[in-house]
Amino acid sequence: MATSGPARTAYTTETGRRVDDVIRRDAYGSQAGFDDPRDRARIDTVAGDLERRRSPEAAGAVINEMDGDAQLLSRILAERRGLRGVASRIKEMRTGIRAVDFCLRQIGKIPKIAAVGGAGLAIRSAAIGLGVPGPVASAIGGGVVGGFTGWMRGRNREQSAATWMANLRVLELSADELADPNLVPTEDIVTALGVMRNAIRDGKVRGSVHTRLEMVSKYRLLRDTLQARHVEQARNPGEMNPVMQRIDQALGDAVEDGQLISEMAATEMRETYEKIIGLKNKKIAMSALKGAVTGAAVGGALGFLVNYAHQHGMLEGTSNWVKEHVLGIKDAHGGGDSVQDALHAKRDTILAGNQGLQDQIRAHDININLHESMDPVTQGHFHGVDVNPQTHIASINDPNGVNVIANGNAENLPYGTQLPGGTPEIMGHLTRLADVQHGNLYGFTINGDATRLVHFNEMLQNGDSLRNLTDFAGQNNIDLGANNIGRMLIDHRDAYFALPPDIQNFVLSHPSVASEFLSSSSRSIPDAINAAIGKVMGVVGLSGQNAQLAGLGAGVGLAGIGAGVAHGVQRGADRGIWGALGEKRSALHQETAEASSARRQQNVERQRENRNQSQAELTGSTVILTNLPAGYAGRREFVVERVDPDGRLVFMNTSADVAARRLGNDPHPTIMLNNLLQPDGAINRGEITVTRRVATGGTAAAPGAPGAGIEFDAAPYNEIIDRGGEYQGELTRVAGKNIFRLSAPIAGITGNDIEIKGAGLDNYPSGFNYNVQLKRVEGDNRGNPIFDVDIRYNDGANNYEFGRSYPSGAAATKKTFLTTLAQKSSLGATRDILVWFPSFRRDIIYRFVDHDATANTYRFEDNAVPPNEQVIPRAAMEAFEMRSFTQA
Amino acid sequence: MEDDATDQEVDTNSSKNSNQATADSDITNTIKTYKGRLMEELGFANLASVEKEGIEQKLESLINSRIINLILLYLPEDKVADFEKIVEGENQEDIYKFVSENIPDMQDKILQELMNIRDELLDKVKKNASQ
Repeated sequence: MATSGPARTAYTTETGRRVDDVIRRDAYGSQAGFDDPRDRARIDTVAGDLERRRSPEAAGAVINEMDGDAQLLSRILAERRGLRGVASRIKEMRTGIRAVDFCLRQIGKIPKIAAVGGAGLAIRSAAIGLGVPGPVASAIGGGVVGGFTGWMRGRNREQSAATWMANLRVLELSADELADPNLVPTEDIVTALGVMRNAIRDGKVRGSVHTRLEMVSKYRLLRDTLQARHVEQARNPGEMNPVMQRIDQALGDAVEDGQLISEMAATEMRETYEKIIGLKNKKIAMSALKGAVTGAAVGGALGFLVNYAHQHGMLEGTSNWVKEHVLGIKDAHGGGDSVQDALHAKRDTILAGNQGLQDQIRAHDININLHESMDPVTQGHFHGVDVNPQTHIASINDPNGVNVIANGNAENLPYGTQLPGGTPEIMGHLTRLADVQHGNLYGFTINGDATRLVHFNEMLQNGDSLRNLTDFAGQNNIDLGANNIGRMLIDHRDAYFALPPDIQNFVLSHPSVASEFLSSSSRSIPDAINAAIGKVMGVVGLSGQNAQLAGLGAGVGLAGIGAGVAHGVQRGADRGIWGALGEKRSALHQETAEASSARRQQNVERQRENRNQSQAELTGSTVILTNLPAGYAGRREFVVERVDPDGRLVFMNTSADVAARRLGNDPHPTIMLNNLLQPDGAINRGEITVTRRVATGGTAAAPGAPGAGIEFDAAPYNEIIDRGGEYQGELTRVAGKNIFRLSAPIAGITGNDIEIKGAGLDNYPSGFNYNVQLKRVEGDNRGNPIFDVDIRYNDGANNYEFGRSYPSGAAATKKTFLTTLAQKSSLGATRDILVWFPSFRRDIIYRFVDHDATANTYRFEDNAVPPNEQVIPRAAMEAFEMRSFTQA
Repeated sequence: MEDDATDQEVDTNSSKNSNQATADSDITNTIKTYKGRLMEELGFANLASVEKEGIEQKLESLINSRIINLILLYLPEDKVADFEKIVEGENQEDIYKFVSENIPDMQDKILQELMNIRDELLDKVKKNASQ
């Protein structure tokens, strides 16, 4: 199939020129209201500067957040697997980093591959700009190792897609040539896929969106060729050879890469789209947009469509459509070249703006792309495609009668632009493809709002039908077919809901785990799904007879796992890939019924327990209602006296309330407990805010107007203060308050958290352990105690109090401090000063050890046993922000 | 792996007791290459050394946590007791050897996780900057 030629080059250049012309005209035209391009450039430069200035801090915050999530997961996993002690130790020992070190060193030992001489047909030259060595049958060309080493060697070298396709000669071959394993060894195809993968991951493929969309076509051609060979090989008896395993890996990678390639094209297309939409002259915008979209449709997507149809033997059916509506030719059986040439010959007709034709092209493109994102095993079996021209919804029926709905309407069009019919479809679809990798939970969330995901989850829990689920998805613009989360939740619903809630959240928050469920079910290795579920849930060897229950904790039982596997097996059997598991189906199906019943019972009990806890928390507490019932216009803040048996919250009456009641009015809203709870019985914090409960032993007077205080009884706390002593704990900051988390509870105080205050308290960093002495107590306006304290940092031997803050930079006070340290060192009087470096190591308060006058460096140690040292030059000390603490 | 040390780095010499100094230096080199590549992609290659080191410290903590999670997730149930004994020995090479022998495809998992960290980080930073 021809990849280049005068017609094609001219076509893509022409479309690109049309778009650029329009934009240029808009930028420098005489229409009123345009920004001065120099102003725009100046704004862009400032914006760029701002971004550069704030990026390191933002990146640091992002890393902290990711680390926080990972550490939380560590605690959950350690708890569930009974590895708490081990987890703490390997964390302190930095076993994770060490493992990476060992791993990378092993990779480094793989011998460098010789330069290309005998590279075969796949790679023309080792000097393709990435530093990836020419391929021999090795792990470097493809696979995880190849991808990683390719990235590590990346060095920001880029190439155009055209150069790519020139260097990877395999991309220039026709389908017939590729189909001949004597001409193109399978290993070469695997390696070519690996090389392309490296480039894609590195973002090193540049060029026009049309060229890149064409690359999609080429990439898929390679993948499909490989799949055909895989199927052929699988028919032959015998042990799976290493090449087959690499094919398997490459195919698995290729599914993901297909999305990545589409994403790349989508990003660039969207940028062009946004640029065009930004044009003030709508008429010009329409014209340019039509040109750009049509160009993409013809140059990229339609080219792909034809290629795809040809490869899958669908040209018979599809080509009629192509012949009649696009090509206007009678015979497309000559193969790809003749089809492409005919296509190019018709480009002028298409560019003339045949709206109806454009709609059909776009609808068909959506169908093809949707199908591509489905389970690869079912590829080639789709039929019964329908497109509703009014709603632009396409539906596909697969052989199992499963309806997958794609809603092509794009979301959030800027400026409320009314665009030519059908144009948003491609943008919406491509945007969603881009969102796959952008952590938007695959269309379920909008700008971080996960309401739709929550509702979808509820529908699954309620056992809604697949039809209802797909209807919901369709109405909410969620493409389940391209949606890993959606597919996983549907396909492995029972297994998913058998997980403890925190692990459920983990799965939703870590799409890679969801992918493992899904990708395992799509492989042709039957036991892979068992292994995948087993790995995540700690169950081993379900393909044996009985799974072991030492999984991730209570609530995860064999029944739940069995149901999940059975459900997956059921679907797999319907797809015809689980024949080998046929004899296990009946046993697993029996387990399914028992498992479902047990799971439902567990859910009911859990819900009841949560509801009781919620009721207990609300009773006696001051609350603020987020939403008020229709028709009620009073206040939002109440003290809950009790929850009546019918579930109604009964609030305490103020004097004003009593007066209203005497007149026959009810001053309180009707609030039912059920409306404040989540499906699992826990309080829905979005509906109600619970402030702290009335202090024990005190007099609880109902609040008057908001802001009025609750009477505070200090007597019991004064007794505690009079007892004296020091209390240990950790200082944290919550909602602007200093909270001291006691290491051990204090008799007479409910809970381990107390609010504290004190002169200079803000100078003590949170997250460390301190000793406090309680000096005085007062109440807040909710009747809770606030303790005035003396606070000291204790390193295990001595107490230290805050000395001084030194901002970054070499101010005079800091220089004096550094000189003081040096002098103390020379006198041998060190170790009584601690320093905290917030921007260097927030998690350590260092002790000053000594100063090296010759090197002009300062030595510190932490409080590990034995201590770790840090030697910091004077220049860095002047640069670092720091706080000092001196021995009390 | 090539060493990407630059002249701008602050010479903060992290040293432990003598029998681990060499191991730490080796770790510094191999992990440093990964961090350097990531810093390059974040656009921080020419950042002031103080700021750069701060970010790299955070990266190390993140990598440590994520790889430990792989171990906690994938360690087979019947190997937990043996693993505890190996950890008590505190020999990192033994620990890694045990982990790689008992967790299938551990090397690929680690490399994939490093790439996942890279992808997630770049994506989140990009989104953060655009808000």
